Formats: sequence, structure tokens, C-alpha cells
Amino acid sequence: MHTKAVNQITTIKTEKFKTTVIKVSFKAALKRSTVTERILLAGVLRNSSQKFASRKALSAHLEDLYGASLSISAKKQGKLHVINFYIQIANEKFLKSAPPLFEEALKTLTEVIMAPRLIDGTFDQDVVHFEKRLLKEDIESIYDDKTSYALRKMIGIMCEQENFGTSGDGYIEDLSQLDETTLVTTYESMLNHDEVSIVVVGDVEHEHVGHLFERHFNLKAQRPPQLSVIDQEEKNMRSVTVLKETQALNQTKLNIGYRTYTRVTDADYFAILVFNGVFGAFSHSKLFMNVREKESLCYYCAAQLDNFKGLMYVYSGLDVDQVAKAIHIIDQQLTDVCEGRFTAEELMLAKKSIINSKRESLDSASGMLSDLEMSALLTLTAAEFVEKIEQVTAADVSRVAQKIEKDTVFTLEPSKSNTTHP
Amino acid sequence: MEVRKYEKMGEQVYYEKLENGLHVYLMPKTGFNKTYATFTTKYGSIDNHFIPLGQDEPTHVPDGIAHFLEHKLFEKEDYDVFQKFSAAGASSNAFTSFTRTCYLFSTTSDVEKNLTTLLDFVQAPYFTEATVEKEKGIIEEEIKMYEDNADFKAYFGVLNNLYVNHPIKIDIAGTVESIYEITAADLHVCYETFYHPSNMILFVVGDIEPESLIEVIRANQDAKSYTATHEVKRFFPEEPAHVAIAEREINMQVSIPKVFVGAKGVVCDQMSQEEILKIDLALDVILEMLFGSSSDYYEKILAEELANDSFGFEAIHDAHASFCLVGGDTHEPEALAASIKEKLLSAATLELNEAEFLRIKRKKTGQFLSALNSVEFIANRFTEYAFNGLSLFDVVDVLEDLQLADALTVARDYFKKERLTVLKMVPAG
Repeated sequence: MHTKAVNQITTIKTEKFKTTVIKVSFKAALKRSTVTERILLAGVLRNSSQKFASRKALSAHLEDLYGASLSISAKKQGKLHVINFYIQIANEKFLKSAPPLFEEALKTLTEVIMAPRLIDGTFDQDVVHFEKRLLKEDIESIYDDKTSYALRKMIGIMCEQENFGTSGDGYIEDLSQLDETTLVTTYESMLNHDEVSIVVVGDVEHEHVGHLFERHFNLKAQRPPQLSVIDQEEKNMRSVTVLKETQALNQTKLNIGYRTYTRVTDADYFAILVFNGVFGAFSHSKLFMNVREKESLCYYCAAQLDNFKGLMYVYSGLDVDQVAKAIHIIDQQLTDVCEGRFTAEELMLAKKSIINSKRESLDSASGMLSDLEMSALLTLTAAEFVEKIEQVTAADVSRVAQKIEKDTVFTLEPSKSNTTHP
Repeated sequence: MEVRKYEKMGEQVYYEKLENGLHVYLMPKTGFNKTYATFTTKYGSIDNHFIPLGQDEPTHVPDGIAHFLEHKLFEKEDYDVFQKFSAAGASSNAFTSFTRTCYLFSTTSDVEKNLTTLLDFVQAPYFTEATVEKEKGIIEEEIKMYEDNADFKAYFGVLNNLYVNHPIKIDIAGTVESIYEITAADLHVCYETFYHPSNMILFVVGDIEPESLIEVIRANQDAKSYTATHEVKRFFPEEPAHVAIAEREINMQVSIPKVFVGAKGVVCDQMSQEEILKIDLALDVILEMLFGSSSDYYEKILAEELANDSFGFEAIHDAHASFCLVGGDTHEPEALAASIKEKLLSAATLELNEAEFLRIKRKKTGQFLSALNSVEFIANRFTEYAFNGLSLFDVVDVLEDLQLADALTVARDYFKKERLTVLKMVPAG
């Protein structure tokens, strides 16, 4: 693996994969007022372009390119809202009599970014109407996945007064204000004001990639990176918010949100990763060992960190009568880590698992892409990252644990009438 | 060791059948940090009726027992399996499917040590009545988690509509009732019958040296004693060609209704695995041509607001079962179901053009290639094919050789009125 960056283009040259990936990211500040329009824009750009006048035509073109996969998606990441244009295409050396495909992939990606299908200076009204319906139904369907619905709901409650409380999925009520004209403004704002980064992963030469981008991808202004993904906004904490909702379910989805006051660029970043290795990230962590293995209360119980914002989420699925007991055990595990009640072995296991998953992530293109972003933020290589993890002490782990405050407990519970199982 | 070279794919696989019957496949991948190993038995949720090792009479075991056994093999008298792997820098897991139970680890260090742990923990069962009882609470919550999952409920809802007798319709984890019937003695019977090395495949992929690794594996297996290789006698009920239930509605707390049309295929006993694979691929191509992202049909149902991006299809066609599902979220479940059925039934008279067929073949080829980026995909699918006497890396050649006529045969024979079913999921309350 060899990484080279010139201007906005970074090439990761590797022979590990049978495909090549191009990812172009447009980053802007996450705002309640623009989140929905940016998601809708992603849908409209994915729909069609000047050359490919319909979804069907664009799909057929991608099929011709040996099933190239093209996705355009907008996602919330810390303080940012990022629109990612992503294409993955087969490397022709593994195919019988296929033409060179990388340049075709780049041309297609460029087409959907730079050559949208505009009619008299606005998007096609029918296309916008069509994509609005799909986005509306996409937002509605979040309700149907109970595990992620419960987690999203908890984050929404916890960060209600903060910018981070903005839903990354968009808002149905915003759709009526958006149309083929407003989207042109959204599109121009993305092109002219967003920060752009371009990464190519595969068996390609940087110079060759550079030439092809020059030939096809004409992005004029080069904006130096200024936006920060780190969200420092804090909340005035008083007491723990406890809320529940009932639905026709078989199992309670328990979600607990915490403030960690530790973020990627803080000195304690490595300590909080190791903390979570001890507390809740793995199958040898305290949550899994105690809530599941010792007490048989659940199938899953884990903790996940958001280190851009300084949050931690604990989640589990269990019988409604066991919720109080589970919360008590979870509280106890956190107290134990705060007070240093964990063994040298638990600490060692946490470090080994973090290091293993870091190294493993470099075996996939998506892992390489996120490693590249993290390395830029930390100004560390993967090897230096491993060293930093090794250096974390038990005292560091307890110290970061002591900073953690419980914020919100949200349970999605079965309604009483629901007795699928006796 | 025998070396099998797949030159176009740039891959090679080392193979050896050990004296105790274990099939070992080792696949070097230069430059990868991760080594991924799977130890798989040809034993899944459908194998619930068989002659136990050393006995003469067939027995029926409770639903969900293969999956229960998968959970319990992680329990040891004097150590914790997860911790042992983690201490050597690995993470481990397992899963149970209709036809297989797979134990696995991935690691970036100490491959030999972790491989020994994998072989040893799967080959040394330890269960007592107390530990079996303790697991029931955990599996009960796992079952309830799936019960709350709308997509899972819809999938098994279709299978229950399609099948009258075949155990493929049973949830892999069983039911809350059935798992409470399971005893330590039942688990032993299943273990002894299905975990003989000759019924298992070890697959290791990563930056490994096959010659030295096979020494470690041989030494590990030679130190254990096994009875002579035996073929497990399994029984499957007669399954009629028609569906069990033509149409059914279920309730869940969802915001948008879902509808799936299922089609049941006929599995022919006399067919070779190669022929079965060819039909499997042809079925995929046909579904893609009928319902795929570039089809006229998909464009039409999107325009008519009968479907959204959740619309999709999948098919399974192997020696045990053959079925496909088409559908997704819709505000018009009746209309979408009727429309999918009509489309499936019209497949027999469809005019398929060669250019479109070639385009879909290209798409499938490229998608297969991109799946090969994943060592998890390679290990899991290689094992699945190997149990059927096929090679994963030959799939591309079979796909390349597929003719429009093959697809037309499937289109003509597969979709019959009495073999279609509709499952509707509508918002509760």
C-alpha cells in the first residue's frame, strides 16, 4: 500500500483488490436548515444526468461497465454534513476481454456530479417530485427498524437543544418547501462552497489518476480544508432524562446515552478507546460478560463511542421486567472501571482487540478510506496509532471513565396487550 | 498438498484431505494484514431428522438445536473462548444457516495459535444441564430480537407460505417453546453425529504459508482420535410442488406495508451439482432482467408509486430447496402483489433480447469480482460450494458460458400459478 496526495487528490495504490474505488466528498457544516435539501439533491443527482436521461438509462450504463456500483449519499458526521459520490468498478485484468474501465468510471462519476439534467436552468420538476416521494418513504421506514429507530430517538432526545440533534436522515416537513428551483441553489452551493476531497483506491498510478482527473473532472476552485468535524458544543447537564415509548413488540430496546467529554483530537482519545474496550465494545468487555454471559439477560449489550461529538451509547434488547436490573448492572460496570476494578488482563484484551481491528480495517477499501480520514485528523500513521494504544495505562482508563456522565435513558417497550409469547 | 490454480482470478488454493477425513483448504493472499479462518460443519437448521451416530433408528430433534449447539460450543469448563482468541489478537464468532454451522476467527497476529484454539474449542464440547439451561435466556432474547425485525418476519413468512413440510420453513434459531425442550443429551447426539471431521471443512485465507500451516493442522488432528469416516443419513419429508398458503396477511408495527411474492421451484434429485448451479445463475439473471434496476418493469412501478428503493428480489436454488422472493415496501400492497404475480407468470412468453442478456451477465460478473475483495465472502462461499462438490472460482466460468437459451428455459419452467404465494405485512393496530 502506497499513499500519495497532490492537491485534493489522494491515491492509495494497492494490489489487494479486484476493483477500483473513487470517492469524491463534498463537506459542509451540518445545519438543520439545509440537511433535507442536501439529501434530496443527492437523490436527484443519482437519478439522471445530461447524458443519462433516466434512472433506467444510468442503471443500464453501470451494468455495461461490468456492474459498476454508484452511490450518492449524504451523511451526518460530527459537525459536518458530507455528500459522498462513490463508484466502484472491476479491474479489467481479471475479466475476459474487457476494455479499460477506470477512465469510464471516472467519466460516469464526473457526469453525475458536473452535468446534472437541467431544463432552462432548473432541475426537472418530475424528477424532483419523484425523488421527494422516495426520500419521504425512506425517512418513514426508519420507524420500521426498531433497533436503529430507538437509538436515533435517544440521540434526538439527548441532543435536542444542540446542532448535533439535527437528524442525519432529513425531515419530511421540509420537503414541501423544496422544488426544482431551490435545488439549483443547493447544488451551486455544494459546488462552489463545499470543501472537496478526492480519494482513489486500487491498482492505479497517482500520475495517471491525476492526468485523468485533469482531463475529465474540471473543479476550478481549490478550497483549503477549514471545516472541522469535531463538535465541541456542550449541554448544561442537570439530571438524567428518562423516557419511554410503547409499541407492539416482543422485546424492550434499551438505549442509554452518555457524555464522554473526550473527542478525537483530545489527548485522552486513545484512553477512551481503551476504556470502551474494557467496558463495552467487544465480547470480552464488561457489558457482554456481565449482562449477557453472567446474568443471561440479553443476546446483545454493547457500548459505542461517537468521538467527533464526545458521546457514548449503550444498547441492549431484553425483557421489560429485566430493564431495571440491567441498568443497575450497567451502572455498576461503569463505576467499576472508574474505580479501577478491572484486571491487567482486561486491559490487555482491550488493547489487543483495538489494534487487531485497526489492522484488519486496512484490508478493505472502505477501511482504508476511513483510516485516511482519521490519520489526517490525528496526524498519525496506523503504526503510530498502535503505539499510542499500547501506551495507555489503567490510570488513564479510570480517569477518562470518571469524566463520563449519564445523560438519557430511552426504552422502547412492548405495549401490555402484546403477548406473542406466553 | 494439492495446489489448485485459478489463473484468471489470480488466486490459488491448497487442498488436503487429512487422515481423519477433514477437508483443509489454505488460500494465500499476499499483502493482507488479516487472516480469516472458518471451521464449518455440513449441519444446519434443516438437518432435524437423521440416524444418530452408532444407532439404527432415525430421530427427530427440537427446532433450533443446530443454532443452540453453536452457542454452547463456546462454553468451556476452564476457559473463555472469546478471551482466549482476544488474548492472541483475534476476534471470533459463529453462525448457523439452513445447511451449515460455521465457527470463525480473524486475526492480524499469531495465526497458528489461533488456528489451534479454533480446532480445539470446536472439537472439545463441554455442556452440563446447568450451562444448557443458562443459555436459554440468551437465545430467547435473540429469538425475540428477530421477532421484532420486520424484514426477517417477512422472509420467514414467505417460507412458511411456500413450504408444507420442508424444515427450511423453520426459524434457524427455533422458537421460544422449542429451545426450552432442548437438553444436554440432545446436544451430544447432534454433536457426535455431525461434527465428525469428515463432515467438516477448514478454510484459511490470508498472508499465510500453506506448507508450514498444514503441518500444524496435521499435528493437531493426528493427536485426536476419531471413529472411521461415516456418511450421515438424513431424511427430508416429501414436499409437494404447490405452495402451502397462497396468500396471507401478518401484522407488525410498521409505518409502510410490505409485500412479497414468493415462487417455489422444483428441485430435481437426479440433477448434478453443475446443472443445479447453472439453473441458480440463470434464475438470478432472469430475475435481474425482469425486476432489476434497468428493467422496464422497475421503472414502471416506481413511476406508478407502487414501490420505492426498498424493492428487491433474491433467489436460492440448491439441492435442498429452490425459491425466490420479489417485493418490498409499498403503500399499495394489493396492486403491487398483483403486478409482480402477473410479471412472473408472463416470464414464460417473454421476449428476451441478447444484448440485454449480455449486459446482465456482465453486471453479475463484475459484482462477483467485487465480492472477491472480501476474505469473509471467499471463505463462506468457498465452503458452501465445496460441500456441494463445486469450486467458488469456477462460478465465473459457468456464468460466462451461460446462454440466453438457458435463461429462457428457466423463465419458461419456473413460474407457475400454483407455485406462487403472497405475503402482506400491514401496520398493526
